[in-house]
Amino acid sequence: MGTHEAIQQLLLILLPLAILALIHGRAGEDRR
Amino acid sequence: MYSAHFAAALAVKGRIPRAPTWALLTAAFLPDFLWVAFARAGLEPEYPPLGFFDDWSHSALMIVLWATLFAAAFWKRGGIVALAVWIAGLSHLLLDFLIHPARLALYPHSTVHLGWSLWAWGQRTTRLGPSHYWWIEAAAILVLLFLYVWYARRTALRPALIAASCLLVAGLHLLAA
Repeated sequence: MGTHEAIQQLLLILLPLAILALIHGRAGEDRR
Repeated sequence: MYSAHFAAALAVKGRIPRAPTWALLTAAFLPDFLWVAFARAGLEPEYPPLGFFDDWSHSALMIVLWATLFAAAFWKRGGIVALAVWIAGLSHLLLDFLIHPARLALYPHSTVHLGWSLWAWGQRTTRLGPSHYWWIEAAAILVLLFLYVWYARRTALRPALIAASCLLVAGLHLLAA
């Protein structure tokens, strides 16, 4: 796998992951 | 699979909201992150002449191992959080078991393989447009997002947040059609 393809694969995962993580923030984490 | 792994992490988030979302999502994609690293390093070739090989990142035993190691890092946050992260990690095995470029090995270089050889069939387009693979993943996403909504509506997660998350995952899958 070339560097370009590796970066592309990672971005495809990391961008939506970051969006979902950001919009959730710490929602629910303090619930006991 | 791709979007289904996001949906799996969200389903766990809905059931165990105390678990950090980023950790669940990372756990759900851990074998794919490792696959990119291993493929880049030449450990897991993905094209001929060496052929497709992903036993170090995607064999059943290794997925369980990666999930366990990653979940162990969250033990201090409580057993329930570590369990949630572990389940999110294991979800990768269940989803890729359905359909994958190659059947999942039991362990690296094992002659025992799990699942079915559905990849070639999965790539064929259906009368409805997208491929069989797309529809199988769509069904998995539907079930997992249903679980997310079902569990999350009883928690502190706001309805707008739940809706936005579902739209994002569904949108990602529609873009792949």
